[in-house]
Amino acid sequence: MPRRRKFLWKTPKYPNSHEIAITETTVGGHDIACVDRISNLPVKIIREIFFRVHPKDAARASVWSKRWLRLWASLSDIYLENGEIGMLFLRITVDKNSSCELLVKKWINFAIENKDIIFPDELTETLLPPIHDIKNLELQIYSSTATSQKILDGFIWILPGLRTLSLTFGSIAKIIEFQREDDVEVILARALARVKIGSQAKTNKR
Amino acid sequence: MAEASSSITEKFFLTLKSSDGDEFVLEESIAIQSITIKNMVEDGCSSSVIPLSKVDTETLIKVIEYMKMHSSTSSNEEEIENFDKKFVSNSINTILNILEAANFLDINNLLELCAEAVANRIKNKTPEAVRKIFNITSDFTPEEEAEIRNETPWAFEGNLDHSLD
Repeated sequence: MPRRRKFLWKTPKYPNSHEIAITETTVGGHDIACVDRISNLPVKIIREIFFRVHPKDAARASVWSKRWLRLWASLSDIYLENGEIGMLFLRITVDKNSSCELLVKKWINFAIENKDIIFPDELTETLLPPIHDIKNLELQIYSSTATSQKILDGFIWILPGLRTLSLTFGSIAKIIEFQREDDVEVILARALARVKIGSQAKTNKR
Repeated sequence: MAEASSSITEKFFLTLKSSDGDEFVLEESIAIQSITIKNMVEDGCSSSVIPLSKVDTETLIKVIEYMKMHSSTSSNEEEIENFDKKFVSNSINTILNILEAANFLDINNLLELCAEAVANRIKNKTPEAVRKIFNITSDFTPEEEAEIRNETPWAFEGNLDHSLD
């Protein structure tokens, strides 16, 4: 770690706030870093920073340097809470790993929770390849809008191998079992038609 | 706000030593906003000097200022808000130092405050501007960079900020 300039100040035995010197280090006209500290921050801190920016900002980090390209690819789940749907597709594509079932859950919940965010009109292969190994999925649906059909279309495409879907709308729980792949669309559409999807208040935990 | 001097006997003090060797004496009740220090106190490591080998003097002074302002006994909400506003106007070098110190000392509020300050220097900036602000050297060839940009074209759309502000 680079040694910072020596601060020449001797501590009194019991300093109070008046005796603590305040140093302002303004560098020329622009406030810029003198060494590349940000690239070497612990991942925990980087996550804290990137939780606070738009996914577009985070995605641009992928071209800062090769290290940031790798970091960006490893930060996928934060966009599930802080993102836009088009980007989430992309994130899952890039970062398909062992926790992918969890990611998909979070992602779908995110999509459903955020009324403003709708699925793209057409879900094409370029957005997200189907994830075949997810057989069972539990979803908590907090609120939704008339785009529920789109949401359905979305995850039928994404999860063609789905066999059991457990939906909880508020206090209503519903478990849907699928026998064959081609049943999925029909059964889901019927199930959702029966379950009233209210426009409850958005429950954002963060 | 100073507490009544009659209660001085009930106060406990800790000595924090920076990586530069400077020692700071601080009330224990203030210092334990740092979970790292709190754990040391609870483990009985606080009778002697607590060495903070990862925090230099300049950064430690800032952290102590922050902890004093945020200790429950001393400040009202408005004071704290104004303090925080001024605090994040520290130079980006200082903010990054404090950010790492806050992580090491486990002071969550301070970590969040500084993370927000850093995030604000990234928001809506062109990659070129961010590289300058944070002194990041690109190790991509122009072809490689163009290829990555093509993977996420939506990230580069719109009016991006070229300034270093």
